[in-house]
Amino acid sequence: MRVEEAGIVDYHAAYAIQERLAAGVAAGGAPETLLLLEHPPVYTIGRGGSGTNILDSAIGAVATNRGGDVTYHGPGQLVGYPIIDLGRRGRDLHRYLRFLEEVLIRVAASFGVEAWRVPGRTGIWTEGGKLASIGVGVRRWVTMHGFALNVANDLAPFSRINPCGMAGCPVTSLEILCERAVSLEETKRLVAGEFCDLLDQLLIKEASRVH
Amino acid sequence: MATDITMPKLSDTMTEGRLIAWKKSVGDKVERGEIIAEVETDKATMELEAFASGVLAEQRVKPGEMAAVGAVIGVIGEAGEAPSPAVEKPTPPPETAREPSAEPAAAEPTAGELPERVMERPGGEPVPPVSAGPPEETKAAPVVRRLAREKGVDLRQVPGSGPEGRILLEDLERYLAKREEGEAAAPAAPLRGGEEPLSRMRSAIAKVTAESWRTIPHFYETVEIDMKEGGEIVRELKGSGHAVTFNDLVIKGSALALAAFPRLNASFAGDRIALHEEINIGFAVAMEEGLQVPVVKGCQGLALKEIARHTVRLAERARSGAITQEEISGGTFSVSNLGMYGIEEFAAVILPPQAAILAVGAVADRPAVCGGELVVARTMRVTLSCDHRVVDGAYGARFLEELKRVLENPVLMLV
Repeated sequence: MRVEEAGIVDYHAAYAIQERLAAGVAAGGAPETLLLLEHPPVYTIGRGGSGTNILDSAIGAVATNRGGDVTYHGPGQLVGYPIIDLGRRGRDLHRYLRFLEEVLIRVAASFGVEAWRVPGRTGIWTEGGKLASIGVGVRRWVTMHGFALNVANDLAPFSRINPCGMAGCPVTSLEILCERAVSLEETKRLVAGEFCDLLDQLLIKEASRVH
Repeated sequence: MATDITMPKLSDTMTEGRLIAWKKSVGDKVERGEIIAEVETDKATMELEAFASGVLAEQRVKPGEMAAVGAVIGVIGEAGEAPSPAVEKPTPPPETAREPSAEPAAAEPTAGELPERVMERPGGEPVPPVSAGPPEETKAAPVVRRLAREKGVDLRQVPGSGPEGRILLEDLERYLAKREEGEAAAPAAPLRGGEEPLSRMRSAIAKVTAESWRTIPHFYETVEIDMKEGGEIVRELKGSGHAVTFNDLVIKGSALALAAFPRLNASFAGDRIALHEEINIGFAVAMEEGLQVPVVKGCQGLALKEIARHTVRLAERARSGAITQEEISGGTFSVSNLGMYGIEEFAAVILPPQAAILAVGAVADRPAVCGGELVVARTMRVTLSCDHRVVDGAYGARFLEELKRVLENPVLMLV
């Protein structure tokens, strides 16, 4: 398991990196990787959504093969793309989603922010609204896409979409909840730490790949 | 030999999945291991690989449709085999996946269909009180029902001697004979003259409603609210061990709307209007001898789950007679729900010194027009009674608009 930090990366370029990493993991041999990065402003539309939930034409929109509806990415938001071999970690997508939520809940907790799950609404939620979105894609049981944690990003672009397809869905960030400046570097360190700690605990690795 | 393509089990907790897209058309050649479709569960999509080579012969499920785990969603035929015409047939009950490489799909036939029906039936909610005979289904043959209707008999009052309490014709005849003799002492049987002293509760209700009617100029506004998402939230929360009723959603939604429209959380006080800081919402609990309105205090600071805990406890205490004066006073707004009786809509009498009360009807499937098409929507009608001395029509309308927005986007009640 390794962590790769990539700075600000264009959405398409990041997708190409994920595909390459995922192919390596599926073929066997390549290590599982957590990609941590930021995107320039972009709206992405998951398989569950359509462009009708975007009300803003100033920022480009990309259709992609993750689960979920539309969301926004931009600088100051920490995006995590874990390339994980679920083929040898229990092959359970729901458990994987709950694992990602647990990582993010613990990261929020280390900032003193209480966050929780809402059944049926994947992501993590706080009293100020949704703090992180999750949308995952799996090919040959290797994961792509992942989560987007609002750290210090401009939240205005969310107001011009219906995040997750829900009108009026409130969105918040760590900075707003903590009422102080939060560094992306600090957040990355915490995310990487919790992710690596929890991965083998919650998604137990089998000796060899099933199927 | 044809090979079924089944909805894969992507999680131990997955009972159904959505087909997102077909990557192959009927008649296309398919290689084992090729991606033929995408399926989704929750917020995760999975690219579905072919487990056999051949030709895609059938697509049984359309993009966007749900299918139970293990259900056949398509068929791969042998290359050269004439593809059977792609008929649009409904997915049959799932067969167990036979493909060795497919997940051992524990077929759960009607999962995903059943709970919805059961849970969203308004009468199915664990709603408060009702000791005066819930609208339970009685078992009886049509001929028995017809006779009962003709004779004006409420079948719930007739003891059934058939299997599972089924009411037989002879049971009804026996009941009628008894009634003739004036022996039918069923509690809900029509009273036949005489006097009945007012119970303390009856007397209190008479006093309060008469005062309200005499002093408060009521006006009424009704709105229809889409409860599809609300029903999902109720179902999902129940699935995770938190029983929340539609009534709890209405209370939480009202609290949020009242925070935005504080003049409905107020009292008319002669020369001024007193705005209340606390949002204390009373909910009417029907009892055999009348009704009580326990109050959930401080709703502005309560999460949906906490409201649900309070309503369960308070309704229980009201039913058992253990409720205290303190628990039924201090209300600043009230909700009265007759949805469990199948009431479409009604208007309630304001409880002084409050400024408004919300009357809630049944959640039911109703015709609606969406994009010029006639569709079935799951809706609920609520009627707000307002004190015209405190607010005007437009204010009430804006409150209802906010309430509707919140209830139709119930995630707003969860954050």
